[in-house]
Order: sequence, then structure tokens, then C-alpha cells
Amino acid sequence: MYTRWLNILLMAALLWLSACGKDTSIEDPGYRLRIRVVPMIDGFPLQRGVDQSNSWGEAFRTDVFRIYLGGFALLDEGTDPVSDHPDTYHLLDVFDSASMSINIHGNGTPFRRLRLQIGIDSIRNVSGAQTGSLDPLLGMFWTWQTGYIHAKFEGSSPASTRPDKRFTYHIGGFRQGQDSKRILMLDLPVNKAWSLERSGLTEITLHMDIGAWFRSEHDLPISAQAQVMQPGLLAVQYADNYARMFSLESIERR
Amino acid sequence: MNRLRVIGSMILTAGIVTAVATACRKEETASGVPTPLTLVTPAGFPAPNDLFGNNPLTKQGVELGRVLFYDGRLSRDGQVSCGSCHQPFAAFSTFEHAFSHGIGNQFTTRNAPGLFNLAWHRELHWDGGINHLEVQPLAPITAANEMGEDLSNILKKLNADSRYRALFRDAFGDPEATSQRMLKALSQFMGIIVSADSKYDRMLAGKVNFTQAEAAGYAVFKAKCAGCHQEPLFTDLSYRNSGLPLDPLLKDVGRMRITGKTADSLKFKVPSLRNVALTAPYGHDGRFYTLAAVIDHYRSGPKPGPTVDVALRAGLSISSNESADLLQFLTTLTDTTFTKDPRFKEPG
Ligand code: HEC
Ligand code: HEC
Repeated sequence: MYTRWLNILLMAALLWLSACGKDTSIEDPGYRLRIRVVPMIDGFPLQRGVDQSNSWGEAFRTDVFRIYLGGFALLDEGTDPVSDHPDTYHLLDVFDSASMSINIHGNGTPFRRLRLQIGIDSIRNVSGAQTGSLDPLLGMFWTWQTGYIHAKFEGSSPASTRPDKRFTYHIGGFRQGQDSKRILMLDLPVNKAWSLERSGLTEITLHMDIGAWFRSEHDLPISAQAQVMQPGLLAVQYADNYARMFSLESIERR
Repeated sequence: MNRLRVIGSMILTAGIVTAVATACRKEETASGVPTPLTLVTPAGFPAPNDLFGNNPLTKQGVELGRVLFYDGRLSRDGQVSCGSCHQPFAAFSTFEHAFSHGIGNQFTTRNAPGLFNLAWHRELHWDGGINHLEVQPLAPITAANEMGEDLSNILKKLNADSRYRALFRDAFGDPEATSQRMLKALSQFMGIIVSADSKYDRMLAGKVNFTQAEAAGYAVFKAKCAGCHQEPLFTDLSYRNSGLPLDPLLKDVGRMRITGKTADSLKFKVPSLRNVALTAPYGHDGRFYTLAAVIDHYRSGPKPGPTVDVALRAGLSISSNESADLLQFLTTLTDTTFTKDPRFKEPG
């Protein structure tokens, strides 16, 4: 009898706390997890407005790199989530360091893998005006053809075939055959399950190596095409490549 | 005892739900609650899309949408409003223009369609590239040749205007203009623009009779045109190639631009023929100046091509008499009740 009331009260407290926040899952905010994303280019830190080069030997400068991550979940050894944040999105901007750390929370259940999603679920692409991290104001939304730009990469390179030597990649697409959302499962680099601690902070470091954008699943040098700004087969290839950018480097207590 | 417990937890649950609801509404100010409106489905119309499920239709929301629709400040130079291209007396198309004027003496590359019965359209624009009315305004607002403006700039302008702050508060319980609220208000305004009071509608309702020519034209229409321009919307909302040859300058491939499929090349959304006498010129690029010219196109047969609709390949056999009757019938689709409706007019 008492436990039932207690349960209801606990539910109420959790509902209260979570209902107005960004995350929809009912989890204990005491169990904090920070996901820190470090942008790299073939093993070196990515820098703004500085000549760097990709594995094709093409020099380039990055002006914009923004990408949507979301749908974080902590998984047991299988694919069952012990903690799940579906339909939540974070816009990473490599030149805005605050945006590169994502704070979520979970619970005390041990986990072995991290699931994450690149891009926006189709339902958010077809449901009208969104807000928060999906506000079209953020410039990650195509206007002439409804849909989110999952990743934006702009800069300049002598390898660009365009007269102004710029490259512009706006990658997205949710329709059948054009889907450029990708779901990744990354194993923890420790050979055992990890548990978040109540009133403690765990930090996961992800490397996001932009080298894979140009060369991984597909060969996509800047010289081949310097401009992709709509969904389609090419965008799908870039999506296959951006899915290969991420690796889970470390997990530590902070 | 058991029942008591159940009732007890029910009361508690109800309490929790209200508590959570109030917790989320704390930013709402003390102003009045917006007045709910309902979109009335005209007799004979199918059910509309669920446009207002996530955007409850209210008198104040529609009013804010109307003010926004006619406000030039949604454009970069302050001169171009939605209403400057979508004029009420032309059934919200651009009066007698193939292409409409955007900012800085630029023109659109497609003909502005009339705006009415949009709550029944699954997709918008000639190529169906827009999948929800709420996000449609982003296209003209940001297009360099239309309004050329940036969303955050618009919000800055709106938030600096006390009149708008009051309108936003009345519509959404909070004075802050956000992109979502602005878009939802525009969607409310456009969504309630319904045209269903033409002579044709009144004839169906048994209130008036068609002349002999109109009745004969209606028969021709049902036989030759209704396959695509399906009643009661006068469009089946599909994408078809009616055999207009590609304009070499505009190079507009229509639906293919969205789907990337060659099978969709030169297909365009079948336009509604309601109010068609008010929306000249015609076609996605306004290449026909008169309705008679459109009918002549159907009679002479379209330019052959792999995606031309089978129904039109051989041309439609329409005699000159039938053509004259058809023209008479098409004028019965004009609805001046809606073009003169004070709810849809430029405010003030
Ligand atoms: C410069 C002229 C111009 C302005 C300004 C303009 N429009 Fe349009 N509108 C057009 C044209 C042209 C089209 C056809 C676009 C296409 O099919 O690609 C159109 C299409 C539309 C459609 C789709 C109709 C259908 O049947 O598919 C809607 C809805 C619409 N406009 C609403 C608006 C709103 C709301 C605004 C203001 C935010 C606006 N327009 C501003 C010219 C304009
Ligand atoms: C196979 C389908 C089909 C049939 C049958 C058809 N139409 Fe059309 N109609 C279209 C399409 C598609 C368009 C848009 C063409 C474009 O601009 O590319 C159109 C455009 C029009 C327009 C221009 C409307 C505007 O606002 O721009 C008129 C008028 C018209 N049709 C009248 C008729 C009449 C009258 C008939 C019968 C004689 C007819 N149509 C038969 C598909 C059809």
C-alpha cells in the first residue's frame, strides 16, 4: 500500500521535473552524463580559417561545420536501451565550443554502448514549424523543399572546381531513397559495463574526424564535387561518410 | 477499500496532470484566453488535413496571421508583403502577372497561385516541395527574388513593436515573437481561407440554376477535365505533365526537382480551377493569357514527351461550341463572397 503511493509520488516528482525540460525521457537528473565532441581532421584538431588538408592531399579551409546529433541512448550489451533520449536534438557547431558538449542524464543501470543519431527523424521533417534546436531560424532548414539540413560544411579549397574556389555541402533528406539520417552504436573503450553515479558526472569523449567526410565509405574528394545542396544520391553518399566520422575515445568520471 | 484506493489514485493522477500542465504554462500572462474557432468543412468537401491539431485555431491567432500576411516588414526592403503578390480581389494570386514582383525589381520564376482551400492541400507549390502550410512562408521570406529577408531580422522587428507584442500575447499568451508562433499564425490565417460559395456551389445546393450554356459546359467538364481537376476542390492534388514544353530559359522541370526522378520530369501540381476567371494568366509560368488559350492547348494536343499524361496525349476533342460552353462553366467557379470577406482583407 505505502510503496504504491510512494511510487505514484515519485512518478509525479519525475514528471514534474521532466515535463518542461528538453528531454522527454523519465530519468534521474542526478545521474549526469556529458558527451564532449572533439572535431579533428585526419588525426589533427580542426581549425577555423587555417589551411589544412585531407587524405586526398587537397588543401582546404573550414568556415562552417555544423551537424545535428541526437537520439542518445545508453545500451546494455545487446541493443536494449537502459536510458533513452529519443527525439532530442543538439546542433553542434565546431566553432562554438559550448555547443560541442552535450549534457544529458541517465540512471544507475550499467551500460556498454552508446547509441546516437546523425540528423533529424522524418516525423520532424513533416510536422510544420518546430522550435528549440530545430528552429528554422538556425539556418539548418531548406525552404524551397521542406526538410532539415543534417550537416552543413562550407569553406574554400584550391581543389574546388568552382570559380570562387569555395565548397558548400548541405546534406539532408528524409524521403525514401534519400534518407541521410544515420544511427551509430559505439562500444565503450573499456572492457566492462559502466554505471553512471548518482550526483556524479561521467564524460564521454567522441572524436569527430572530418577526414572521413571526404574518404571513408565513399571516395568524395573536393575536386569531384564542390557543391551538394539538396537531398539525393550524392547526399546519401556523404551521409554514409559522415556516419564514419565518429569514434568513442574515452569514458571517465569527472 | 480497494475502490477507495483506485479513486484516490485517480484523483492524484488528475492532480498531477493539472500540476504538470500549469508548470509548463507559467510564462503565460494574465491576459484573456484566445477564442477558439473551427474550420467549417463545406458541404460535399472531404475532411481537411489535420492542420490545426498542433496549432489550435483561434480568433486572435488568425488576426495575428492576417496582420503578418499584409506586413511589408516581413521583407528586407519593407515593401513586399505576402499580400502584395497574393491579392484578395485576384483570389489571392497576382493580378494579371505571369510573374510577381519581389524586392529590388526582381521577379518570381513561377506564377503565383490563388490561395484558398489550402487546408485540403497535402503539399504546396507547383512542384509540391513544401509539405506543411506552417513552413511554406519560409520559402518566400528567404528567397532573394521575393522577400529576401532573414528570419531573425524579422523577429527583431516584430519584437521591437509594441503592437505586435500585444498581438502575440493575445494569440499565444506570451508577447514574444518566435519563428514558430509567427509561422503558426500565418498558417491559421491562410488555413481558414475557404472558397466554396461560387455559382457552381449554389447550383449544387439548389439555390440557383445554371444557364443552358453553363450546364452544357459542366457536362463537357465532367467528361474531359474532371479526371484531373476533380470536384469539389477542382484538383486531385496529383502531379501531371499536361504537355507544356520546357521553357528553355526557365528550365523548370517541376516535380523532378523534388523527387530527383526522371519519371517526374515536367510534372506540376494540378491547379484548382476554382476562381480561375480571377487568376489569369495561367500555367505554372503564366504562359497562357486567357482561358480560351488553355483550352486550345488541350484541343491541339500537347507536345509529345515521355511523361505527358496518357489522358492528354492525343489531344482532347472539344468542338468550338463545347469550348464556348466550357468557358461559361468556368466562370461559375468564381466566388466573390470569399474575395470580399472582411476577415481576409488587409487590416485597418
Ligand atoms: C514575390 C511574390 C510573392 C510573395 C512576396 C509571396 N508569394 Fe506566395 N507564392 C508566390 C509564387 C510565385 C508561388 C508559387 C511558388 C512555386 O510554386 O514554386 C507562391 C506560392 C505560395 C503558396 C502555395 C500555394 C499552392 O497552392 O501551392 C502559398 C501558401 C503562399 N505562396 C503563401 C505566401 C505567404 C504566406 C507569403 C508571405 C510570407 C507569400 N506567399 C509571399 C509568390 C509570392
Ligand atoms: C491529365 C490531367 C489534366 C486534364 C485531363 C486537364 N488538365 Fe488542366 N491542368 C493540368 C495540369 C497538370 C495543369 C498545370 C499545367 C502547368 O502549368 O504545367 C493544368 C492547368 C490548367 C489550367 C490553368 C490553371 C491555372 O490556374 O494556371 C486550366 C485553366 C485548365 N488546366 C483547364 C482544364 C480544362 C478546361 C480541362 C478540360 C478540357 C483540363 N484542364 C483538363 C492537368 C489536366
